[in-house]
Amino acid sequence: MEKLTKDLKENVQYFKGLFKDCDDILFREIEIGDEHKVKIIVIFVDGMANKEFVSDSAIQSLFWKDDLNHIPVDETYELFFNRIFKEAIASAELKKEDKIETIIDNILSGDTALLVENMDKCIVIGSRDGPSRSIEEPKTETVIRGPRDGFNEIMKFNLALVRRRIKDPKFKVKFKQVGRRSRTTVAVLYIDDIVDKKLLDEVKKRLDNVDIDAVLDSAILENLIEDNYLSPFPQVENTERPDSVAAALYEGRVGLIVDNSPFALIVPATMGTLIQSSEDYYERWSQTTIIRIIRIIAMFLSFTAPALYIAITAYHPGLLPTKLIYFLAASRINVPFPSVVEAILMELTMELLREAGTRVSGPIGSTIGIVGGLIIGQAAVDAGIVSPLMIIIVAVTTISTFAIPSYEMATGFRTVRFTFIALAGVLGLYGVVLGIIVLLSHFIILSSFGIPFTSPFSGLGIEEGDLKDTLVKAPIQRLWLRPGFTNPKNKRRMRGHKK
Amino acid sequence: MNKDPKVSNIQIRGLIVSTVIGVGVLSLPNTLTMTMGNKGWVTIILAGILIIPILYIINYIFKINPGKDFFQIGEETFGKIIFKIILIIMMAYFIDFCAYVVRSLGELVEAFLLPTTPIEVIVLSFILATSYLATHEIDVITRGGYFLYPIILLFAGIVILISIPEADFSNLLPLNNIDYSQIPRGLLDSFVSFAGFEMILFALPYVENGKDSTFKSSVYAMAMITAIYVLTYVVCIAHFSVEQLGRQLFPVLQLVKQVDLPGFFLENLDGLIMALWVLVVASTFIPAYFAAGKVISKIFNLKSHKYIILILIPIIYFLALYPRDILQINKILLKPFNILGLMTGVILPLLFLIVILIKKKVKK
Repeated sequence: MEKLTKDLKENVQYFKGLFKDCDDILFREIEIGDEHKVKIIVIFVDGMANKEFVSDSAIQSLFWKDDLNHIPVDETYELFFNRIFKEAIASAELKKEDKIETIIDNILSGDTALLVENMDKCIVIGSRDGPSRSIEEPKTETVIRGPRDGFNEIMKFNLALVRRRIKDPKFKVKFKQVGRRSRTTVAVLYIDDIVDKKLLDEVKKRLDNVDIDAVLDSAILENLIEDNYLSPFPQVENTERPDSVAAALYEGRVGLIVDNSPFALIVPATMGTLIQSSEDYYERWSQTTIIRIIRIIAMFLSFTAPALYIAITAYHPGLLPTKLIYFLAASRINVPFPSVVEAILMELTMELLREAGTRVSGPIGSTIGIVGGLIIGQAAVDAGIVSPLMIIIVAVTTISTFAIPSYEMATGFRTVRFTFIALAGVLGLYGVVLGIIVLLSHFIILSSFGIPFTSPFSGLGIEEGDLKDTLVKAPIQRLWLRPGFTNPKNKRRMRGHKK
Repeated sequence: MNKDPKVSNIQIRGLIVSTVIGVGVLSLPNTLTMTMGNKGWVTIILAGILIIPILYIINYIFKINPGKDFFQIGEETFGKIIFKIILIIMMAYFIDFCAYVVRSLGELVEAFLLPTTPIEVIVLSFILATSYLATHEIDVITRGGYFLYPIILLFAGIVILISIPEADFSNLLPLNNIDYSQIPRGLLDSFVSFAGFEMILFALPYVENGKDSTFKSSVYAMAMITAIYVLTYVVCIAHFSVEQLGRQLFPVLQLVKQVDLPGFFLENLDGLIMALWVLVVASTFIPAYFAAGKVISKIFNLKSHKYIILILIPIIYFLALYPRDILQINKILLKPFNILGLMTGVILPLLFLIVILIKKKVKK
């Protein structure tokens, strides 16, 4: 069956057969009319639809509307159906529908279907109202100054949070269904007269090409649409903050909000955007500039610090001042392992602690911190298994990974860190540089939706002055152009100083 | 994603600078003092100026043949067979380029960073690491060039800055007694250090925005390279005298090694400079490696140069390790490199120009 038939019984039979053993789907049969009775069936999902709303504005109003119940003898079902549609149901979202597939989709999303006797159409009442979390402060991207609202799992709230920041009819929201079984709604967000058409088409094309049975979170969608899924580095940005999404849209990028996920996706993502955090724009430019530079150093340290330690202690002690070298040698004199083993040992311990710490929370979590950080560290040094400098290096490395705003980016660096340790163990400083060559090559080859990942450092957007908002952060008055890497249709943000 | 590679005008600048500056910057002061005494800067500037017309010719060739790449234009102007011969010369040039660069790198890394590691390991690991980027198309290569461009400036900046405190600029004096008979030799020596600018042959046809100002861009890049060379040369002369400089093969590294920075965290900067220099060499080696692969793939009419790059790994490796010592390197790798470099860098563009002009006359 593709469309509804005129026979109510057959229709209901079909739905009952389809929803067999789905005990959470309710069928409510009502009859209205004084002398001439008309049968109506109401179908909705318990818990997904707002039951109170369905009772009040759909069922009750049918019963209580007097002239509706006086059905003239000569009235056709068609006229009666239209009367219900126009006069009887007090709902803001209402539509007629005859395609069964759409009706099923709507019912399962929380809408209510109203089937009327002898009609091959039904009324779909928008009654979606599932369980939801209230709007809370984002857990992953906290700010000292700036808005504190974060996304939750309900898409319509998330969209509203973004819409509140862009009151412009040019701000478009396009829905797409992804996932054969999960039928997850994905909203494509963009500002029509800023976004590059090619980018938008590419995003839509990739969404259409997704073929999977379920998309449970935006992370799954992210993996399915990114350019290189084998890379340890993300090519899609994600955020819990509506202000970040709005800012990205104003830059000419495309946002994706996935139902049931508090993380919105932003494409394209580049090296430049992954070192920006939303707080950068709420603080004074001078401070942010320093923080940006610190982040770049942190990025570098997060994968090279232990490798550099190994290279210098094992291969090139001459690089350091003589006094420091003596101190280093003295502190390592009791350590029975070569520095590579020492570094791998400590890095593994650190990863272990981090993993244990993220899985448990609350009082046990702090115990892990104390036992892991303080006791193991101190004991390892006292026992002479590692040198105190190694502990410092490991700590610096770990803290560096936390200083990178994008968690996924930091994870990528964490993963490659072990390769660098091995390279430093085999070839010293030369090995580290070879590793950097390969890593840089990888970054240079990577692209995000056709935009080079290394932008703006590899040329795209340099002329528009993208470095002013990536390497440093210029005052807002100086950022009168939108970033160039997105090829925005509308380049100006404000009247600038130059032409 | 998009099939046609796209390059921007500004990336051309980065590509030229990062391709040209490589091995030459370390040895140029030494080779120049042999012929020019303390007047080497004259020939560097002269060589820089003489390359500008060549850059103009290359830009002109692509301007009158819009939408065609180097290989199409070459085939049209010279005919298939002659152009194949030209390509074979270019292939020899780029392979020799790669071998010479990687061997020099191996020698220096062995001398300054890894004294006990066999040079075979150093050379092979470098070729393997760079082959990853070289298998990609020209847009990726230029992106890489532009990305590494600030690192080259940083490298040159550090070298020049740290040597100023101990420099004695009176070594440059007297300024006027130039030995004109030596200028051709000096010019030739300087020209070798400018090898690599031919890379724009591969990149220019793909320039998207700012097509008209590519010549300006290339001249700007050349000016920057000349400035860096002159400054390093002046600093080296000022630090060592002419007599000392003549005895040091790689004076820049020697200079960095001698400079002491009391009170700094890193007392000896030579390790750091060597590490940076390996990156600088990578930015020279990768475009040349790519070019070798591309030219060979065109000789055999292949669509992709990906597998050629892999086949080239052992070829470059054996060629690089064939000479036994520095003298043999100069004889087997550097000499042909000079000749082939002149052929592809100077004679080829001139040939292009002559043939195109003659064809134009004949048509009229």
